Amino acid sequence: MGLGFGGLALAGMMGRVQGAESSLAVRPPHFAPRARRVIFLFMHGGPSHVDTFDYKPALERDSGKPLPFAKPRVQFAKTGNLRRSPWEFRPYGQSGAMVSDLFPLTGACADDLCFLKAVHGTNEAHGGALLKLHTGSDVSVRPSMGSWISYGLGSENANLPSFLTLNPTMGHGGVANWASAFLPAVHQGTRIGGGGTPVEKATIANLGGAWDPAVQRAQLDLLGETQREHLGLVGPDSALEARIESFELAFRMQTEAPEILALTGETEVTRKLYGMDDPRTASFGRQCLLARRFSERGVRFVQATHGYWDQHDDLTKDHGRLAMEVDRPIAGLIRDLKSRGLLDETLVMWGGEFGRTPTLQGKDGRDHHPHAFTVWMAGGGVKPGFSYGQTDEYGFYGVSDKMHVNDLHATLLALLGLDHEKLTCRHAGRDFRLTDVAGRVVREIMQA
Amino acid sequence: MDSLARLIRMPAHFALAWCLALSVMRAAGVSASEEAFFEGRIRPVLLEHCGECHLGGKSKGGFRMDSRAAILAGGESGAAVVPGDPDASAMIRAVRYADPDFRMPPRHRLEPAVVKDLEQWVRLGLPDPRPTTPPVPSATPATPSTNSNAGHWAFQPLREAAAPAEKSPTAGTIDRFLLQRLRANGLRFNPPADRRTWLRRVTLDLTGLPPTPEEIWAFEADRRPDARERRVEGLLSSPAYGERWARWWLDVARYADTNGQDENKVMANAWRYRDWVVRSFNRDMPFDRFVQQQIAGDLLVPTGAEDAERHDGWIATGFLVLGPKLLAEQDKPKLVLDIIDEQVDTIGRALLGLTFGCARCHDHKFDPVPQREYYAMAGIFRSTRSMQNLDFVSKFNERPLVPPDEVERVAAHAKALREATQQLEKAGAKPAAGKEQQKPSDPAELDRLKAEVARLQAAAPPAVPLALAVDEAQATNLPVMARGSHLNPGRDLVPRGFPSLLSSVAVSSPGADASGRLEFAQWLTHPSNPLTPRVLVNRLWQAHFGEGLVRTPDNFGLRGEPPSHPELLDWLARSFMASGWSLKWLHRQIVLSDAYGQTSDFAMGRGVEVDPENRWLHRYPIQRLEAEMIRDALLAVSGRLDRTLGGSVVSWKNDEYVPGDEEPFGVLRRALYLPVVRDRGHDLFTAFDGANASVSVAHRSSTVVSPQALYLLNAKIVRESAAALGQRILSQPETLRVEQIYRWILGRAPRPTESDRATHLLLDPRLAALKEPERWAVLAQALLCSNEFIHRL
Repeated sequence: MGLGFGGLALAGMMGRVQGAESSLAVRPPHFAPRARRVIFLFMHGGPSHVDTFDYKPALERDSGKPLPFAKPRVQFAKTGNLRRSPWEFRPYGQSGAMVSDLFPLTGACADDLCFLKAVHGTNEAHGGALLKLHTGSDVSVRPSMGSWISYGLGSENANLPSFLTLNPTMGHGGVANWASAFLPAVHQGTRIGGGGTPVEKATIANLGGAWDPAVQRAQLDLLGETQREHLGLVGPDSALEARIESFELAFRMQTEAPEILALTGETEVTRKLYGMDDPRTASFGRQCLLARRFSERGVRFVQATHGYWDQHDDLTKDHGRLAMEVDRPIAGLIRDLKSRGLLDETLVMWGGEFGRTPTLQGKDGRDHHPHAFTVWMAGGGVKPGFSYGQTDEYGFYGVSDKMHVNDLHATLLALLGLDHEKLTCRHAGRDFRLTDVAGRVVREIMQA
Repeated sequence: MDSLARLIRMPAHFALAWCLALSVMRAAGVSASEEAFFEGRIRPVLLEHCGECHLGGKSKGGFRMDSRAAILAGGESGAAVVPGDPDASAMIRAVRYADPDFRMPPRHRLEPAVVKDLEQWVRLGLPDPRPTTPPVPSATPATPSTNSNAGHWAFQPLREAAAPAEKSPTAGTIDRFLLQRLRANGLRFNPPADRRTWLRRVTLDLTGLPPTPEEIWAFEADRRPDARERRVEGLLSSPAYGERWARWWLDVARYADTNGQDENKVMANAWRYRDWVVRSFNRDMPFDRFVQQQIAGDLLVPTGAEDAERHDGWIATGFLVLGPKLLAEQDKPKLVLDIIDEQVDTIGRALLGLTFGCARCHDHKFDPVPQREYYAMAGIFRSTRSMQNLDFVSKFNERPLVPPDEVERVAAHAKALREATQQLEKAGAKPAAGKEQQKPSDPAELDRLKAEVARLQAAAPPAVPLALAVDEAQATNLPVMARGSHLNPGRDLVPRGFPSLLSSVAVSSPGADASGRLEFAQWLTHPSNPLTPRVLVNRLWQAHFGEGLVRTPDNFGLRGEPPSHPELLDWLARSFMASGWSLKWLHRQIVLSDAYGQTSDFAMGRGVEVDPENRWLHRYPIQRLEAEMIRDALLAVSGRLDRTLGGSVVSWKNDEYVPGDEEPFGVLRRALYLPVVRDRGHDLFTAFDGANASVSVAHRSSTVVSPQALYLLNAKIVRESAAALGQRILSQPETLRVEQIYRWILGRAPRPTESDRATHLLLDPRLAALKEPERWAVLAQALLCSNEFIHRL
């Protein structure tokens, strides 16, 4: 049928002529892709890189001393002297990656991970940094990366949205972080939960509920006949025709999506793997498991959000709790994808909107730090057991192989077979890109 | 290897220069040892680490390193090297990585030994055997010459075109222009639509609501020759007209009740601007004045004006303050420039159809807007107070709508109450129930204090009403900022002023002490400025026909689309100005035209094959209702719409974060009055292509996506509207119910096939378990979902 979860081209009968990119039909990439789908595990608030994946012995050594070089011109707030990590680091796997005791189970997957240790952004406040990370711009309204990917590749499942965001924050840009902006609306992220709805109760808006399915079927039968009679009177308008079909699609989705959300068919073993047997890990475990379920059914971009990693104080206690909540679900997701043979074609990405200062804030805190932080990837054609980019001896600035957020986006698109300079949309008189006028594809992290 | 690869990719002329330098040339004053040093230690470094951006025609940041002269010339950030003094040389500071904001190469730090070599090179005085290459053409185009694209149609004065002669007796001027093109393509208008179809179309168009069954009956019964004219006047004078068209303007004005972006704070006084737009449209305020008010209403108030008029002038400037702002941006000078950019870009796109924002970082690549002129306009808004403060989380500007002494009185009263309350607390009694009394005081004193607090509470004056509004600030000129960054200010200040592309518009320059908004407002609406009226009439045309004569309504520049009917566009613009910039005049011309009154039928003639996009308007274009219209129509036909005019429906506190996830969307007022919460995405607006309130929206798309079907099938407001209809229908005589429910929802009687189907559904065994009103609700909802209901046909 060629009709997506929603969308279809309007064939110029109404509104702007939109062509194929307004539908979710599968579109060929620009070149051979390494990954087909993305799962983005977003750690809202900004987890500390020097307490998790960027091991800095010098920070231990010089803890309490002042930073021996200049702090940035713009800082979110003042911080004091260098401060050691409260957690031990140890090597994992063949690669020997140093991971802190916050992430023992994720650490055990280190040979599947590709660490990007000198990622940097441009905004020191949450809102700006979230928008930058999700849309490439903290100044203007731009489409989200998930929307760009949906726009570039379409959807592999006509009955589901191509871009889902689970449990997103409604603050710090809110919808703008998964909005399609000037891309066709069909590429907008579909929200499941967020804004205080518990993950286990979260669903897609208006997914059923009005009538018993048999009643609704009877209603749709009458509607369909009425619509076709009407169409016969006014003529072959493709948008009117498409709308008739869209009700049938909606009706089918009311069956398919709840089954995915209900975790139908998942074994106890799988649920445990994701930590769903433990109340502390159950919530993010459910998100990770849903991410896999939607992903394996062809949803192009699934984002799971966890927070709130913003420890201006009480870092030891709260980073400890937060990491505990996600470590097992994350490791479960990696292992599950791998055992199902999905990891090769699914790119998993983990990271926050920024890292945290190697310097102390308050009694036991760290401030926002967009100048260097760690993002890691797994699967999807990136080098496993690899680390790219280095920060200085304290983890303050990147010193080699730095990756700006624009570079991260360019690389992400390239892994999916999309050229970030060619994936454009004409708007307000010019062509826009996810990477605006910047972006470098970091081929160094890709498998040969 | 890497550097060799780069060399191979180098442009031929550079490679040639390189070979020449190696084999033949030795620049004067370079000793053999210096040359050896350069070739051995410096040239490889330049090639490997700098070449990508600064060699062979590349001049990132305006800096080239192809020769000693080029290096000495520096770049946008100023001089790069002071020969002999590494510490004073920006290039050396950059490679030392000392300044976090200026580091070269940007992606990796050079080895300390390499940095030492570069320092030594500077210390030696930058000996460089390379020939001075002729300047390589820059990758960015030079300042566009105003002449090169001055011929662009949109920048030309409005032409005076007479409408072509036409035999058709009913054809008005618009029709005559349209018929000329239709005939040239072998087409003609469809026949006139029936009266009921026309009435539904025009009523939705002018008021945003479907006609009531009574209105339909009255119109069908009105056989006077000017019945249509009368109906149009009735609609234009209805308060619903202003409500509907205010929403049209609010899209352009990126109206919202919250800031959005990083800090989603409530702008609890934004509604005054919205209501001002409604009032202005209902009064048919001349559009030039409507524009002037929004740019400089505070400066246009005549002396001796009444409070209401003065306040309206302030409220109108809310237009400048409404934009989304990154309030927690800690780089405050950047924040200020970003806010100005949002204002300048919005004005350009909303009023002139020009993308000024492009000229923030460089000369406009397509339109004759040099970067310098962007900063001339930006200076106007730098001299305007749009922010109350630039605190950690900054605050948008507001002005009290009461005299200063009243503001002081309210503040003094609040202070007195605060102090009295504190005293009472100190004395040991909480005015509110709660904690136990700590240390009992003299009961008489306690009573006195209690009475005082109670008295002050009772006498509390109402809160000071505020308006989002700008004010004049210290007049300031801005320099050009290279790449749009405040870290790269140019040396000269650009006097505040206006773009030069409309050279015919003569307006005096801003005075030394004034922001220049007043003059800018005059410039925008000057009789010889052709862009403002062209852009406006095109927007209004688009709102009636789905597409504008120019299909890029906010881009009339070189990258915009040319008009389908240039003579008509200019005739409309001229006549609109001659009418006194009257929007209602323009509506009359359009909705009473044959073009507007024809059927939307596809089957007639050769239109579909000759004119598939309907650019020549051979039929009326079917249009889906906008999100607001769908909601209002649902409520209207189910008898649930609350028609209260104006005012705010939110009780949120000003400048607070938007509370929770729940917005007061339960109110049954017109959708216009629902709070516009940026970045929250109420499902109605998300599903039905509502305007993104963070940007000036020129054209809403009209998609067909499944969430729309899910909404109509399951959303609470649809279910409740259907349920209300199901209840209400039972009051009708049993034999008339099917007919009546069709009349209520679709404004017509059912065809026999439809009556049969409805009767069958009501008896369908699948509905057997439902009560009678529920069965009717199932039928009603099916009609509410129908194409006929959610389109203008």
